[in-house]
Amino acid sequence: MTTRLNQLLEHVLDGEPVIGDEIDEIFRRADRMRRRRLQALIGSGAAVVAVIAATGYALTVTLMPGADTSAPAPAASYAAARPSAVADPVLALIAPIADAKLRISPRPPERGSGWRQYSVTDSAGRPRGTIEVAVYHVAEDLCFPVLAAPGKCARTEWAPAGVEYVRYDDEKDPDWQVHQTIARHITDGRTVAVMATGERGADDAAGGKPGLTGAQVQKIATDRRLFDAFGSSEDCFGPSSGACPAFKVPVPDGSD
Amino acid sequence: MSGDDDGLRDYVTSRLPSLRRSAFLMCGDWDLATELTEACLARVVADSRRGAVADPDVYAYADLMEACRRRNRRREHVFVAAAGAEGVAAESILVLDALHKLAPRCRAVLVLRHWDGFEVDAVGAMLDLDDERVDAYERAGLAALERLIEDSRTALAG
Repeated sequence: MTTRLNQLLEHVLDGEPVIGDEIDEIFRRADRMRRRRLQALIGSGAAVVAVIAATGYALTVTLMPGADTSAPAPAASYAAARPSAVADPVLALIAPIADAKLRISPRPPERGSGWRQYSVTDSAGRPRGTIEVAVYHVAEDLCFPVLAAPGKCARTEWAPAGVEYVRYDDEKDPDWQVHQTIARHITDGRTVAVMATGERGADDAAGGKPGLTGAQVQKIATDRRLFDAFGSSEDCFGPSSGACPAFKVPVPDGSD
Repeated sequence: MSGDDDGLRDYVTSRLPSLRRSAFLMCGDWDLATELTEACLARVVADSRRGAVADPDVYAYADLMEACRRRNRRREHVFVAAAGAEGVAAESILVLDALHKLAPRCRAVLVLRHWDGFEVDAVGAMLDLDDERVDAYERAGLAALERLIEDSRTALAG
């Protein structure tokens, strides 16, 4: 049967059609296959990149404390504002000093290059104003302003670790009560401003009191750790200074 | 075979007729055989260019037989003469009809062994079978084919 089968099959193929341009068609198909594979490879590569980016974003949002995705802060200044991976060191300094009944949390837009801001709420969840902190590089000797006498320099107080400071507390306006301290580290000229303001539009003066007392603000501003809580390149006189909070008593930039 | 296009073109030119005949014996339709062979050789060319083909004959025949087997699952085994072909001998129709009554894998063993002339181990590599299974398929296929052809001849004579 073996030999016969071979012979039988030869006759089966008698009506075989001639080969035309099949060879060229095979190479055209091979080229199309290669293009499809390349497109599939590029597509899957793009998908992998997108998945990695999405995973990284999700992990960042999930794991980084205080990273509120709704904050419309500029991306560049946002990234530069993180001095370390540790949870917000400025908040870590403020929270123990504040009244234990108050809750202090980042307030969107919560941070930028050289500044942070926080909301204060009481135990019932009622707002108790804001706390704003900023750092500046002041090259020359700083003339601490005098509210009542523009152009004159205030006499400074001294805190440990080579920090000079001036307190600016203003409670005359019940609707805009402010406790502020400007402190300067005399060896490198770095200057911080810390301001606690009460909730505006409160019904009475007690309701509009800032969440921090003047003494608490002073204690925070003169703590050496506050200077270190900002990155060395952070500066509210820098390129992104437009986003810095407006203080009741602005820090002079030396050109004044 | 190298991945350069001249070598690939020589390979395709030399193998296209035999592959297409094997495909026809498997599916019984010249148009379908041509289509399956073109697709198979295009894959050989594409994969050879990226160095993914070790033995092009094993690759090509294995791919072609698998394509025929998949196709045979979905359609009736009907012998279709080529358009414009001369009248096909009754004996040839009997052989094709008997061949197509065999199971696809059994038919593939007979085609590869008795038409293409491959050794048992090569057929085993193409169909993913060990040598004993190839032998068993071959013996059973030949016996069944002989019986089917005899039955058909008897029916025609009667």
